[in-house]
Amino acid sequence: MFRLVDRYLMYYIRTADRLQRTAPWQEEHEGGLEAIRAVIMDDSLGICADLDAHMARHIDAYEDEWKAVLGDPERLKQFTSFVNAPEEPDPTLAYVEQRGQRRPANESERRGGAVLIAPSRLEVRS
Amino acid sequence: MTAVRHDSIETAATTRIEVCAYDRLTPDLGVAALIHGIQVAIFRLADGTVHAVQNLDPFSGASVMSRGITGSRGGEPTIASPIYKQVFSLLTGECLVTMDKAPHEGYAADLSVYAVTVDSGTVYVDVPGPM
Repeated sequence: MFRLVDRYLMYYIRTADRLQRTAPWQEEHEGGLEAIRAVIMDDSLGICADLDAHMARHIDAYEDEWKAVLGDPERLKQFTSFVNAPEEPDPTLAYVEQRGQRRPANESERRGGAVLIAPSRLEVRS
Repeated sequence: MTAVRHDSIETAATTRIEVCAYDRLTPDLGVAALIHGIQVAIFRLADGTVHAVQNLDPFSGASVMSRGITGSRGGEPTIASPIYKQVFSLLTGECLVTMDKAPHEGYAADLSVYAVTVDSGTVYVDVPGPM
């Protein structure tokens, strides 16, 4: 089952247009869903092994890009508020607490002044 | 490196402030700097020039211009707001494309421009007023 889903995704990635979603892709595919079924289940094009290998390569090389940034001080620098004051929080970010959670303050709350300022580093859950 | 001058700034008394190392800037990306309470967005372009404008986006009221998208219009380098995509000149700060929107109440559509100097690998920005 997973193997079929993998093959479907890889076949889609290879043949769909840029930004084309799966439903229009299926509709416009020559022979429609039946032809796609034949490709990934009956190997009508003889590319199933290739599709499987492609997915295996992707999984092997997969890296969580956000996690990689957290582990790289150089790239993490791009996410500070100010290049000349990395520990300084952005003074224009204002929040209020609502039902135990933070949300950005609206105009009138900003004018009222009863707002929380964001900390310079947002909490990171690992 | 060329310094970008704006008429209104050239005549006013300004103070030159050291901001960061030139190498700290990534080509075609922006950074924000906090200079005497003013937020400045600084961009290093692919051609090596450095430009600085106000970080406040007048159309959204958020300080986000440093996260905008650099580009050009007829050879003039531009920055597009990351919020509503208004396009501003990086040379004059003039709003070139308003996206049929008006600026936030109390804000001018054009951005303030700050003169930038790169000297011995360090980036300096001139801000209005004495120290």
